[in-house]
Amino acid sequence: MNTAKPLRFLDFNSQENPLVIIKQNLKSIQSSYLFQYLKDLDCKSLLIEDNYFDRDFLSEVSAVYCLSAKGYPNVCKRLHFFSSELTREKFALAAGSDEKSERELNEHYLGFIVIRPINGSPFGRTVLKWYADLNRDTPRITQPARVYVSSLAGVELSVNGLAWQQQDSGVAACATIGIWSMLHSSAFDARHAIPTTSIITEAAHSSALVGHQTYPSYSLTYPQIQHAIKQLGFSPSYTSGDQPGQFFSKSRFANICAAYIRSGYPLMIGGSHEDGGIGHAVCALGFREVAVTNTPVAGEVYLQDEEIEYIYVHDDNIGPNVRFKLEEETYSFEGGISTRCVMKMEKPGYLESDETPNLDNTSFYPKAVIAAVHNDLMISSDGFFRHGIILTGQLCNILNTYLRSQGFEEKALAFSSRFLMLKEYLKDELERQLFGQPELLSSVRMQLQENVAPMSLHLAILRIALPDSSIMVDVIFDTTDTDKNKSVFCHVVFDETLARIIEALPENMRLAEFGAKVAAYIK
Amino acid sequence: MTNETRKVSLWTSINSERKGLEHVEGSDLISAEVIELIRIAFLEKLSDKRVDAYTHNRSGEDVSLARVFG
Repeated sequence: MNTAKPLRFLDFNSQENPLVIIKQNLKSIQSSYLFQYLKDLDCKSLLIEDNYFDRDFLSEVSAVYCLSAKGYPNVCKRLHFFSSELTREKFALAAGSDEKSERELNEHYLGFIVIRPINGSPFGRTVLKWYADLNRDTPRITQPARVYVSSLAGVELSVNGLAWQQQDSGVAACATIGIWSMLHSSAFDARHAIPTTSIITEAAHSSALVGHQTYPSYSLTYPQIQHAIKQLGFSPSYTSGDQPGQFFSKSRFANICAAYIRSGYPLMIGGSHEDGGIGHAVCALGFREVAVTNTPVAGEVYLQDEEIEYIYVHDDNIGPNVRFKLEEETYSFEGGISTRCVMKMEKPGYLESDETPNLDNTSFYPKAVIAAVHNDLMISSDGFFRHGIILTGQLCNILNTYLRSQGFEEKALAFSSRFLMLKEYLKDELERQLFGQPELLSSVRMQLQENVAPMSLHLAILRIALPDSSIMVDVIFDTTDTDKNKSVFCHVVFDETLARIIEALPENMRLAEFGAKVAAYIK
Repeated sequence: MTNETRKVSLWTSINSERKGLEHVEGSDLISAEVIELIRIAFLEKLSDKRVDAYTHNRSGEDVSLARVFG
């Protein structure tokens, strides 16, 4: 029987810290990573709930562990971490609804780890705060992250992140965990209950075509991953590598990751650690924004996101928020030589530590990416990139035709793309873009509301700018039509000269390629 | 601080800091001749090999349904 247990308040380095005990006993990569990660966050103390019912673990018990002769308990521990000293007295004050104490607890809250009563793979649902972002101009983009609120003794503790857990190979394999993390994304907040790992595994096995023993679950195949996503009410968007052997070129991989993650969709990345090695799947949930750094050549079109260097990944074999550098390497295949993208784990320099083992030695070769997207998202990132390259090229052509005719210097253009909910474009994106210009902001919003045909719930935004990131125009497409139709709603044009150049096109051509005009400049 | 020194991205830049295109004061009309040149330039067939990279999924090379992720 489960029995009452008091909350425990410990110093992070205490030998009673369950994370320290697991690290000493298991010597696993995950325990070392989590310990280092929290140390890097300046963790000083932890609060332990020795009795915590975890929804995912209860579901796992119900599916598998209840059948075991070992007699697994159904209760977990939940560890809460803080970057300040925490005492029972301090917490008791917060439990009495003392606002100052509760606020202070939240200011120092670093997140939580659920510890399952499974010896070999104890780390259940884990949400840890991101480490500091030191570059605000090209920030870390973690759009899929959401706020998790833990409640204990009436005290609410909030942390922003995306849930990670370790695979147990009983109920969940790495791909299951990848799907589970993907479906925790903020993009799906409005419409669904997050499935547990056992629900995902059973969804993956629900077709006779892909059936083998459901439990224990050591692995999933591509079709099972896609089938599970469909069964859970989403559409799988699958993209495989463009290079021989199904590897990715770095530029394409970077562009695809950025397009989906910026849109709030985490990506499952399938690949292997070595050529021909056992497949592994990880979940990408962030990347470091970049600026166009090439010296622009007039007439050229630049894809901003192909220069991305860093992505952030949940790897169930390592831990949450793992930073990987994207590199390009030459390889040979039957019939020639090519280049491919390799992801190399790299801890940020300011988080260096002498802890062992050295975890920065993992390389991963991506071969496919799968996103779970809303069912109304009909267009693909690939199709949108193709159209973006062509349309930006055409725009660059007509821009330079005009500039030449006026005796001005010719320009290059850059573009980037993302999917965005209509309400988020109207509310947050325009507010950020037109910060400090309330009259213009109002005018643009009213034009979008009144002068443009009804728009889809999700939009595909093609943002075109000068290479110094001076925004020229957002071309806004319908996501509920096909790649082939390239249905466009409107263009929000920020530059008056460019607006006049676009207006010089014949009306039928202009409306077909750019849609209705929304003027986002002061006349 | 200008965009040149800040290296902002397309999603972190703000409108008030942007640099516009050159503009001929007092000539809001584009001549008929230039309009025709713009129309022709827009229809000009572009070749960009990057389009191909986003055309070919290599899923056909995925040797079997048995590729597993564990």
